[in-house]
Amino acid sequence: MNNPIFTGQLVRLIIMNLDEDLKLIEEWNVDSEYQRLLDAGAANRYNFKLTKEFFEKEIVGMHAFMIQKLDDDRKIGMIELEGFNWQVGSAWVGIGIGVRELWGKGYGTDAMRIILRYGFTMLNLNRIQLDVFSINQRAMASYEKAGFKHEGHLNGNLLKAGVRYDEVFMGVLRREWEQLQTAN
Amino acid sequence: MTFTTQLFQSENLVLEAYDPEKDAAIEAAFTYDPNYAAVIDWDGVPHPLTVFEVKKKREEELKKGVEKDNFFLFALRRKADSQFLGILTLPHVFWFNRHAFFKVVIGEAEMRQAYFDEALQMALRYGLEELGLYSMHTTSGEYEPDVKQALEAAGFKAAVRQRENVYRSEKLWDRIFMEILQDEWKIHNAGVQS
Repeated sequence: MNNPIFTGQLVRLIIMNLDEDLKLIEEWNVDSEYQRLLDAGAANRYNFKLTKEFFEKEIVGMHAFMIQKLDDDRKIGMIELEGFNWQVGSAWVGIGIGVRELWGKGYGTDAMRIILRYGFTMLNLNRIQLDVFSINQRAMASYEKAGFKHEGHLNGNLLKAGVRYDEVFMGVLRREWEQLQTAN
Repeated sequence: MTFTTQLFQSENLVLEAYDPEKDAAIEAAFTYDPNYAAVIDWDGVPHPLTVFEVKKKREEELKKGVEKDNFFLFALRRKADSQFLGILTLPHVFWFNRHAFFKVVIGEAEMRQAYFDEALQMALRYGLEELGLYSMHTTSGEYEPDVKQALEAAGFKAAVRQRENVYRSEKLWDRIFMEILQDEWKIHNAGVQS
């Protein structure tokens, strides 16, 4: 499957296979750093049955995809649009590359570029936003490359090991994204 | 040592348990105002809601508040006549980060003008003193200048500006996250009182 909308330079986005992919996510969650960078909640180990029930309930409001490498078809992460506000045409995006040795190699940036294209050209969104913790400089650099701009931060909103980190908010408007496509 | 602060009473207001049987009908009437409706139907497009919808939503939230300890909902009433004015809610307290998003909403414009500042102080006292939060934030914007100004006067700072993320009065507005830290609030209050 190489639908051009869902295919980038390094990865493609494919629909989830819950039985198969939740096992992968469970494997990735063993890496607590992955969880801590992904979410403001406390890192935890989740029962497979409960995780599946959660996804079966929540996936209705999500546009969730697995990130698959083009060269070997390996699934390496997931990305989703959620929290849609159809009145203003906005959505939140969340992304995680679960395979640690593939961090910082451009796969996340490529996946983000694909989902922005999907959000703006197929869903007619006007803005896409995310939050990220200030400790995750690598992710922020990736989001900037994809076109996101900083929109501010909540001071010290994440507390880990006695240290407070800012919760940084970033967003991209469709016209900014369109300008970026023209420039590229 | 004694606890001298009254959390649930101020000069003109009381914070009481929300009563779906009598408060939902009043709130439903408030939802003609999208700024009020948005605090009941968080994720949807704010629109006027039936009493049935408001009651169902609030009953679900109250049940959640009993089952979990990270959700809070209070009815704001006028002390003199127990009139329901609006609500204070903290829909998700992040205990491990000691942070919460909160909303104070008052349905009628003249009541908002008279009591919003006082209600806001009750919200801050509850969150920063009783819950011991490090920080609290709420959302506002230029589409509700009275609320934004009241937040600024209480010591809140604009922390995040999500561009074009609210639709009111036929145009897109920025959604502004207004934030206050516990330490800032203490200093602000000391300045106000001195």
